[in-house]
Amino acid sequence: MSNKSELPYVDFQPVKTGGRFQGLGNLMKTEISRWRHSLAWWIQIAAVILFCNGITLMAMLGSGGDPGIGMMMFPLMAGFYVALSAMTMIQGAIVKEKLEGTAAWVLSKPVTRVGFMTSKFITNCISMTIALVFLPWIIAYFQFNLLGEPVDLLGTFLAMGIFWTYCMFWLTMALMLGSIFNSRRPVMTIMFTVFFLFIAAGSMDIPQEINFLFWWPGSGISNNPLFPQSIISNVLTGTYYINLGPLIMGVCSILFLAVAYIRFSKVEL
Amino acid sequence: MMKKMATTNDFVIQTSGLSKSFGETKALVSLDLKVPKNSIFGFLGPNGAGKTTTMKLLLGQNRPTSGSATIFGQDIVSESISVRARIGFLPQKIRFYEYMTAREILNFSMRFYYKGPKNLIKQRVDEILKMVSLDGLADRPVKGFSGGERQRLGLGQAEVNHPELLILDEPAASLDPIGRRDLLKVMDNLRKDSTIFYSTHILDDVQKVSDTVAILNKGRLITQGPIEEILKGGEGTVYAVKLRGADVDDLRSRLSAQSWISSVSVEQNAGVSEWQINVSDDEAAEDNLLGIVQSKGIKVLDYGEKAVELEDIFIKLIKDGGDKNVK
Repeated sequence: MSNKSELPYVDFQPVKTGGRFQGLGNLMKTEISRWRHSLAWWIQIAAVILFCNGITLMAMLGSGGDPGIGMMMFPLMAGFYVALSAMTMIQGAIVKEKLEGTAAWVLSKPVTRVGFMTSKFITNCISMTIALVFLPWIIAYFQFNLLGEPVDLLGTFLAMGIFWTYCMFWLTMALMLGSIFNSRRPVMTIMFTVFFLFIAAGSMDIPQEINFLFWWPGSGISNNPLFPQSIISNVLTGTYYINLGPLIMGVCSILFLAVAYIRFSKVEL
Repeated sequence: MMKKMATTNDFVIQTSGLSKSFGETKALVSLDLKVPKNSIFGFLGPNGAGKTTTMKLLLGQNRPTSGSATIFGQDIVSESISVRARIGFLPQKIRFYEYMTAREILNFSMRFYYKGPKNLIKQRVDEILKMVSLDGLADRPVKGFSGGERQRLGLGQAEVNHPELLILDEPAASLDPIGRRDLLKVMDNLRKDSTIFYSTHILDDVQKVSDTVAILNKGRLITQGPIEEILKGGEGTVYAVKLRGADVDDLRSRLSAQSWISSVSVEQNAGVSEWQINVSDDEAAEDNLLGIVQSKGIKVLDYGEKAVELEDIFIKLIKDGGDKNVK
């Protein structure tokens, strides 16, 4: 080992310090590059399409001409997949880095905690939006139009937006729990409990007034118009109305994210 | 000529009553530390003494329960980011993103400090890879690296930004003897441009390269100061004497009667007695000690000043619980 530097130190252009999001650009660049080059990400895309669009296709082909079966089946499958994906892959975004010590290493550099958390949120958000929302929904659009009930493009994008708030609910919950706890177990336990409640809500006799609290794309089998899956079916076919479910999901996501930021700013590494 | 007064600018790290508790456990109790500029500062203490906690506080990874600290005169809490822009840190157990290669790790680290120019960043990365002898492994993912290779990469990533202060937590812990020797050489060379604040258990290394040390025990600072002072302040001069045929009780009482002898200890083995005699007055010892031990019937097998080891001082100070402070 030798340490003589021959390089003109003064010619380096230093990064300016003082920003609230210091280090964000570098962290995002690295994280996105990791996603793009990771085999797991491409497997994830293949799996979601196979699971959600594949099962929907089979249901449509085997339904004997029921035009609405695809619109019922697809949000159900996609909803399951997003929750499972958040519980298995995204839950480690913060807690894993805290446990393994990589968060401590990165935060020994001139990186703000806001920058660190934002990089986790944005990169996972981009990844989820592409892999779990955009691609499967676009494929579903063609599936519906070619094999089932015709849906309009605007409705598809609106449905995508509703579904996106649902994805954000799981993502922000994973980030929040990861910033609160120092082990995976409580994170997984809480996420599974919420997941179970959402599933149970679909089959329980819940008073109509509080249906929206159990927002779950797959829980509208009863055709109750307050169930989000009914909303999704409706917007896909051009009937738009405001429902509290997606709004509550959005508000929850904002709250979860706020808690994640506040909590992470105080975490002892 | 006036003697130069120490100013706050002469110290890179200054802590004042810095304390940290985890619930009921006091990990660090009112630490007052001063790390001089361009020093190699050895931060010593047994496991759980509070060394890593101190480093984490300095890096803004933990928040102090009370007290304050500055690095380069900047507050470690409110100005942590600009402090971190000027320092390099090697944690005790460094963990990287395992999928990255050594080159990617260094590039990633560099981009937190420099936005360009690209060719210089690339050259600097190559330079660091050579510096830590990892140029042959530059494009391999770190998941296959050995402990020593990780440690060297850790040192490299801490050096990328030409830091004014290097904080190293047990830097030699997983290095082999050659790696350790090289590390000490690098540290010694860096002294010109950087201050090095490092913790270690390898006291032999500290004695070789450090100019200043602090010893911490159970979260409390026992002593700090230039290493020569610490060595002097521990026991004074110690003479090691090996004798055959000595009447131990008689000699002990004759030695103890001397005002310039502060303590005497003896161990006997097969007619040979080994003496450790601590003296408080070097001149008196030089003039008289040999005469006292060279009585009739006593054969002097060995006689000389014992080199005081930091390890002896360290063990004594830790055992004493910090009663004898050298500040």
